[in-house]
Amino acid sequence: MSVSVGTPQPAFDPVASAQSSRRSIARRLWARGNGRAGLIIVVVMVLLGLVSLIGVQPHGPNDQDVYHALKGPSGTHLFGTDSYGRDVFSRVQHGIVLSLEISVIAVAICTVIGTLAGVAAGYLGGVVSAVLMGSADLLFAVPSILLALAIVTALGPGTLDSALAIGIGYAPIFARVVRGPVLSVREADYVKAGAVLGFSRRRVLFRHILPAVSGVLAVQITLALGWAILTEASLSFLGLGPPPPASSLGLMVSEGTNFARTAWWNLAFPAAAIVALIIGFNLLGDALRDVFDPTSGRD
Amino acid sequence: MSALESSLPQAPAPPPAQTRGARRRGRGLARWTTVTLLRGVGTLIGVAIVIFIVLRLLPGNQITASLGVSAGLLTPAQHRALNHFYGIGQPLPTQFWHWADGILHGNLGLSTQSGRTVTSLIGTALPVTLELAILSMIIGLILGIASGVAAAAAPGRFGDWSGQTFALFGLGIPNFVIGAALVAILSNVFHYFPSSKSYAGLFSDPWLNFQQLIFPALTLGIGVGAAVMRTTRGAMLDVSRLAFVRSARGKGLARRVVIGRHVLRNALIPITTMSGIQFGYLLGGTVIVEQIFVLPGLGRLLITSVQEHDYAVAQGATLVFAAGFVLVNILTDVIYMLIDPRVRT
Amino acid sequence: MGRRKLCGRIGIAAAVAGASMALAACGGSSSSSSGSASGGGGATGASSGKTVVVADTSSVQKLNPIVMTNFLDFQAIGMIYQQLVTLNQSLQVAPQLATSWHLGDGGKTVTFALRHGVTFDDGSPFTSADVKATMQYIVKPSTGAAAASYLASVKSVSTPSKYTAVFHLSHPDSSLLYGLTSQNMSILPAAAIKANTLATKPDGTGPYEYASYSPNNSFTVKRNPHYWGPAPKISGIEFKTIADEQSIASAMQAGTVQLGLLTQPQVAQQLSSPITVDKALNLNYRALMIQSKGPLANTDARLAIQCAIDRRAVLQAAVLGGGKVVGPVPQGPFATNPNAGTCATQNLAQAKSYLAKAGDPHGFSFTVLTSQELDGTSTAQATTIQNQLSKVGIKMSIDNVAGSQYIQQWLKGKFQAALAENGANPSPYIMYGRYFGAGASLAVPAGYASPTLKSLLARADQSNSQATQSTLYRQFTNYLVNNAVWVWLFNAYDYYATSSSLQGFAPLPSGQLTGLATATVS
Repeated sequence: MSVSVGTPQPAFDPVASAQSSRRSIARRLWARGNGRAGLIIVVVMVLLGLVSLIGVQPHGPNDQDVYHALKGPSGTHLFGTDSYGRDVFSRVQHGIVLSLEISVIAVAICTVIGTLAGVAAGYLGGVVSAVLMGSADLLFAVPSILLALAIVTALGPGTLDSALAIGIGYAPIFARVVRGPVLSVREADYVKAGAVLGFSRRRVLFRHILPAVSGVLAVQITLALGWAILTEASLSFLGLGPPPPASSLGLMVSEGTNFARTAWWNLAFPAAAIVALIIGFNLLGDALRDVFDPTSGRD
Repeated sequence: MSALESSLPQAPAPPPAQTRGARRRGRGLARWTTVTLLRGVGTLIGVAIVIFIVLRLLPGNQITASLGVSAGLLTPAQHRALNHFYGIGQPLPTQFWHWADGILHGNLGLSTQSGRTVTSLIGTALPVTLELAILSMIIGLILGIASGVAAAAAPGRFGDWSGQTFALFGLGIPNFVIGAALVAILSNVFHYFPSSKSYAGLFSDPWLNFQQLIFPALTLGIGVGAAVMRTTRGAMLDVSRLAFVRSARGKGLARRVVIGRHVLRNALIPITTMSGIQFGYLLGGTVIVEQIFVLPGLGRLLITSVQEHDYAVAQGATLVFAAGFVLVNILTDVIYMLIDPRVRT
Repeated sequence: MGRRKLCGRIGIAAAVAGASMALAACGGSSSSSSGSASGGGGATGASSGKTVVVADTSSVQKLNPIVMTNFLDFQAIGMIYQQLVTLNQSLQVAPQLATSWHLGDGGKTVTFALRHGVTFDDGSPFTSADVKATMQYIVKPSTGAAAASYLASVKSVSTPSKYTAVFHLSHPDSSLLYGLTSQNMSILPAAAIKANTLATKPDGTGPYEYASYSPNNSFTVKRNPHYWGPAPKISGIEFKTIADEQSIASAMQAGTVQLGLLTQPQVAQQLSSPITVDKALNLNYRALMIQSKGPLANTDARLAIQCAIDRRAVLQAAVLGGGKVVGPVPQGPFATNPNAGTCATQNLAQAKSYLAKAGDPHGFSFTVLTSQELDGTSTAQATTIQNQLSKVGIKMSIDNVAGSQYIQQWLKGKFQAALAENGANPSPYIMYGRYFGAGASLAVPAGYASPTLKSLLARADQSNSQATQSTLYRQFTNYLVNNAVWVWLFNAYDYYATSSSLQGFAPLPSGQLTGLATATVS
């Protein structure tokens, strides 16, 4: 245990609570209805996408057969074909991979930036905090779509650029969420005592502060994944995602609207994939929050 | 971006409660007002600088944005004249100063593409977006509070279950999917497409205006409703555990009275905070919905102007969005103070 | 013009996209209404009539006809303005505001006799002073009109009388008349030029006058009561933006739209009676532009590409076959026969023999620049061509970039090959003088220079005989095709869906909607 100075335990020690529950997190997640549903959805969708990387897919996602365009679902084309005669099922699989790839990179970016900023603001306070939190306010006040639009237009469409655009928009939330617990930990007696005893800042940071925010972070990362998938889909719906022929799910929905009447499968299946991914991660995030913070338990 | 809700930033800190006499209170309010205004203005200045720089990072310039590859047909003399007209090649600080100086004199500049003043373009676009946002908010609040109260009144029962399902899907379905599906269903199944008529103002043709705005507002309202529902339900369950509610129930007050007078009223604080946050995101969401339903609002103006490198318009529109955001945050704080007697100054 | 295609294809992204890809030349044409000498006052006896709604995925962007580039602008603003001359159904030059013209001084002067009794919407009479002021306005650098290139040969304009305008040229220039048919050469009132009101208040001589404009939403014109020609029967026209073509189709079925402008064959095909669909070949052509550098500097290597491409399959993939395979000059009196020349149809054996001749029997690699944002069919074209080339061992990688990026690279010639949607014109000189002529402004993106091409173009343009022009232009296009300077692919159809209440409307090959001025609505 990190509390080695013999100070009395605070009423709710986030460090202790996070560590003691770590072993049973998976079990407690599974025990909750939303956790179980979220896990199942996410695992199924991820697998559906990943198996295409090892070749488990009915057709190549970009294989055209223009003379068999816009055919409905059938044995050979489970989700039908699009206007170029490409297999919608394979394209959805590929779209899931693309979506996950961008979202994971985006969340990695905003986690690192946001957490660093949040810890710095909370731990150092003063001018640093004012500047960082002011910047966060600023990012909030610009419509996130505009920010993404500008970044993508400036850098050119591509996986990394989309990820960057999405990540930057979400970083302020991480900063705010992390700053709170850091503030309270900083004020906790055992950390103050550590400072008195001459522990290095780094030690305080890694031994006390980061473990304290790990629970909050886990929840936030899961929810951010759902959000990143949503934003990625919105961007590619606006034509700002990875360029075709990449089968971005949002772009497929956008193209599908043109065939809504004659070929509904072009709209319905990609849309369903987006919704399933977002709902899966949202359910998981909610369940994680319940697990990590019993005081918020509302069920 | 309604899913943002699930990880909402903390509510803005309420002003510190003052307890020692009216004069202190007065000073507290004055100080709060000053700080809030300063922060708002600071944010707007920051946004202005950011958008100014970001726009100039985009590839191409106003000439290629306006003419496309035909820009190659221009003679050097034409290029020089256009560079001068657009201010291309001027140092950035000079350009920024020109713009900022104009704003201070109430002049947002001129659209280089359409030749109209930015003020007049925003003047016609803003009411559309505002009306859309307000209508969406009303729909969202009605949906959210009603389903949230119903869910909290009987946890675990059917009302709760259906409310939670609504929230789950409301947050899980992106608004462009709802919008695209709505357009597809309305036009294909019902052959109904009110937006194929030209946009009608609220006062020139209220009924057509309502027809044109109700579906986009529904698209946005569902997401807001889902977020508000979850907050309402959570807050009501929290409040109903408190002692005074239990005692009210113990006194034998009717369920409806307890819920209405005591529980809901106290749950209003988190609901207000959430609504404020949602309204901010709603402004962003209008960008996509206006594209889908072809509403001539601020979002559509913003997107087209960015693509056309119409800097003055894009900058003006962004500033208005940011100002809306700041304003809503301040309003949220004010309403917060009005509702909660404890933070009333 | 790429804009509308793209709007159609990728729905929202389209409406968002900014720059137009095709050159302004594409809109180069105008109203016709058989505008021959018999003008006459038409204002009398006009039935009150009804209004029609025209729907498009794009929206009107600029009100000044001289600088507009968007295809819908040409169609909508084209209801208000007219030019000295126009293109008829067979894409030949016909009178409009000029009733006749003749060449003098060995082709170095062109004298226009102007129509009498024409007024602008502001009530002022149309005279030679307006012609002169308009031409001066177009070439003034600060106007920034790409259309100034049409007047490159014009030294000055003189006005010997109120109804005579004389263009003085530096050399005979047969393409000038075709240039003057462009909507970008619309005749403006001298007063409006002076007052600088062109960008906000259209004021022309056409059958309709400006009524209202809501940016990104709708543009409305009303009947011009003082129109010099036959009075239009439709009293007003609204150009309405609807986000995607599917919704346009639905709005037509709902009866709220009378004329739907479509580019997607699958949407057009699903429309059934009482809605009728006309199609007309779009003036834009698609081509694989090639920079003659590196492996592609070798004519045999380029010919190998040309032979390996199956243009019909490209057409099928791009627009479900809704269009025609074309040569360098798609339409008009000088049109190229698309079935002539080296490898007019796919020939893999010949492709391989060209590869062997080029010294690359196993093929080579190159990259093609595309922008799906500008042309919604470019990905389909690129992937189909990629597939076909791979059969003879040529590896083509696709570099798909954002619209603004594409334009930058295209203008600087920073590509090996590029899929382009360029504007066509009945005059081959207008189409290709800018790419392959002497002092061509687009020589860099053209990527190929040859004295033969320069001389053929110059001689054809300076000739006064249509027969001589035909021969020289044929030699010119044969050279282009047989050396695979670029690979010309196809022209797509535009679809005009009309409701049963709109009668007598016929689309023009120029894409103009002036047929509405003679149509009726019930």
